[in-house]
Amino acid sequence: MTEIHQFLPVLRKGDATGDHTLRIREVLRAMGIVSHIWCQHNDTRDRSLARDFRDFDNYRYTRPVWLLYQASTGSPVADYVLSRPEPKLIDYHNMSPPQLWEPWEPHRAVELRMGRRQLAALAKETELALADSAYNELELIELGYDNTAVVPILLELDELATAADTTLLRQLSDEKARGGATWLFVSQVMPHKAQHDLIKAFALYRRVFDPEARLYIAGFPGCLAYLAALEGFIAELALDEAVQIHAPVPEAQKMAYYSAADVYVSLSEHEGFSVTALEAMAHDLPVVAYGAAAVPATVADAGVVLRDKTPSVVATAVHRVLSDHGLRARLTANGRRRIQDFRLETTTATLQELVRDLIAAA
Amino acid sequence: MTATDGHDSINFDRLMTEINEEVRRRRQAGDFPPGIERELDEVFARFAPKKVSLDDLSDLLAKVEQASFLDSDAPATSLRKGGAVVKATIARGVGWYVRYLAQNVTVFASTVARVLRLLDDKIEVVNERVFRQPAKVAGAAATAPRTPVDLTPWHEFAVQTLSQVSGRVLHTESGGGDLVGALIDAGVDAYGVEPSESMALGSASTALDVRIDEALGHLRSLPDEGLAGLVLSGCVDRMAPFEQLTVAQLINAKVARGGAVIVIGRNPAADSNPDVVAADLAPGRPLHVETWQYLLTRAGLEVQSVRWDDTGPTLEPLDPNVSGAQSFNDSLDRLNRLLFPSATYAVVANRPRAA
Repeated sequence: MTEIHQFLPVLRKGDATGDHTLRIREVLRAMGIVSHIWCQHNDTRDRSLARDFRDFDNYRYTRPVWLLYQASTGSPVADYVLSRPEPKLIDYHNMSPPQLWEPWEPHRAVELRMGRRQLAALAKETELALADSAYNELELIELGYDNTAVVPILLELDELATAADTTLLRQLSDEKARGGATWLFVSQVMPHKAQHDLIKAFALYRRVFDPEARLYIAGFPGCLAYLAALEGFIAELALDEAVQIHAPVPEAQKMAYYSAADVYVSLSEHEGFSVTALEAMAHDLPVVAYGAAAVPATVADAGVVLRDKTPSVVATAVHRVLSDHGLRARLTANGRRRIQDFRLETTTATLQELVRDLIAAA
Repeated sequence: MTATDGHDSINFDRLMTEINEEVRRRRQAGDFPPGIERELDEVFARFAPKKVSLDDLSDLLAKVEQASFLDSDAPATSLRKGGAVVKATIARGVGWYVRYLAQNVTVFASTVARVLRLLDDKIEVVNERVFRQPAKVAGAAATAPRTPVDLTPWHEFAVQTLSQVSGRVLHTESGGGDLVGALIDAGVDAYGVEPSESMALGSASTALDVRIDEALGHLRSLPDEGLAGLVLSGCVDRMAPFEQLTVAQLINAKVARGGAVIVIGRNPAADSNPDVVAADLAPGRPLHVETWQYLLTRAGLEVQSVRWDDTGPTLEPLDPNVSGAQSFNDSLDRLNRLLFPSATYAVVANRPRAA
């Protein structure tokens, strides 16, 4: 019997890293491995899901133990893991470039720089480093990690379509009945997700192609100053009626947005994986995305990946996707195929195999 | 035939070409006015925090000073029954201790803030002398009347060099867009940027994709390896030396591997700049061709060739069949270079395919 304990700064449901961590725990437990989650902040309502990371000092074990750190930002938890004598594993979800945060929340930029330093320090101490995309794996290799592997985020894409909030879905359907295309972007409202670029492109789209179009932006408000700026921007462009920001958005409501949309558009500056692009594909939405970081690899041929996010180019690309029915049908068909690569059974099997190899080699 | 005709798979390269062609057509039709992107940027900039620079360090320091005061009186309200009483009791019990700690931290933080304020005063003096005053001069140079470099002699050469690249080609500064038009006519996916609003708007009437923007800012805003080709002219003759260095580095970052770059510069030896006011006030001077070769090589590009504008006057060489013509013509060639130096030159470089 073995123990693998996961450490992370914040455990939050509905967040890619948080959900992934909870699923990993289930996979490990199903393999007969003792596994608990240790974090600094448990933002779920269920206190039993995670323990305070400092309490691990008092945790007694007699079996072989690994500590698995979920790396996505700077945190005292990383220093704690680094200070522990147990063998270490990491799972890297990438860290957004600090300079994109600097003007908005300088302390977050400091945190992210700290995260990169911690990630580099962990390189020498880590037995196996997992990355949820080849892009992230490359960063780990560049930082000096020797033993790396790609395990995509554990996603239950098959369950998505069943969970939409029916009240919201009805309301969105009523809005849709008034005509015009519906754009959607689901992500935390944060500067590097570049919702402001999306609004610029959408403003041009309405002006040139579809005056009745609407844009839904749904996600957790990760930066209140940025959210306020977006609201001011929308008002200044007189798009109050056309652009809705729904933040925070509970899971069931998020699913309603996916169901009501015509196209998923992401102009994010940085994505270590892009879970929401896959969720959009699972809802048969065509994807138009700026090819930042891991986006081209995740989206592959299931979306139009842009090298240029000039508003006129984005607006025209979305117009093309929505008006060319053949293209749209092929994109959604490719999307359905693409999500098969990320089926929970496939990704879980990859993870299980790596864990078995790790234990066997110990 | 379109990106999706007759295939099961999507030809994404063709699709992007078709999308870019539609953007161009709509620009021609006036659907996307030349300044629209900058206009949207400016509107959002009104709501975004300023980028911290030496110019607004004082504002940031004011926030540091504000944050250096630690408020030890925590709110005691509570949504839970009896919570407010419990909180108030705790505050009364440990308030003396928390206040003591808060005072000490406040003293430390405000001392640090004071030191930073003194440093800011010093920096302000340096800032005025080193940055603002030269910037005023540069601003005067930028608004002085400017004649675009005559690129007509380079059209054929640029088309020949760039017609093989696959992807977007940028020309900055594109003036009235003549070269952009020539490239588009040759099937190149070209667009231009031009800082002079009147020139850019002039090109809009000829239905070209020319945006109002300046070279360095536009290059910085592009994604890495986002260009297949780049032509630089005009701006390269006025930039300060550190900007010329920066532009060489940006070329290496923004042009895709295997992409081509043409730098068209005024020949300093020709003394041919008609815009004497702009030239006198400009922070930089036109560089010699050797300097651009050096800068581009230093930035990691491979210089392929150097061409001179040969449309100027020359002394006619002797018929090569005439006795002694060879040595006479060699001397004549040297004399031509001294008497009638070429007005402009072009340095062609490539970004190597492998790192």
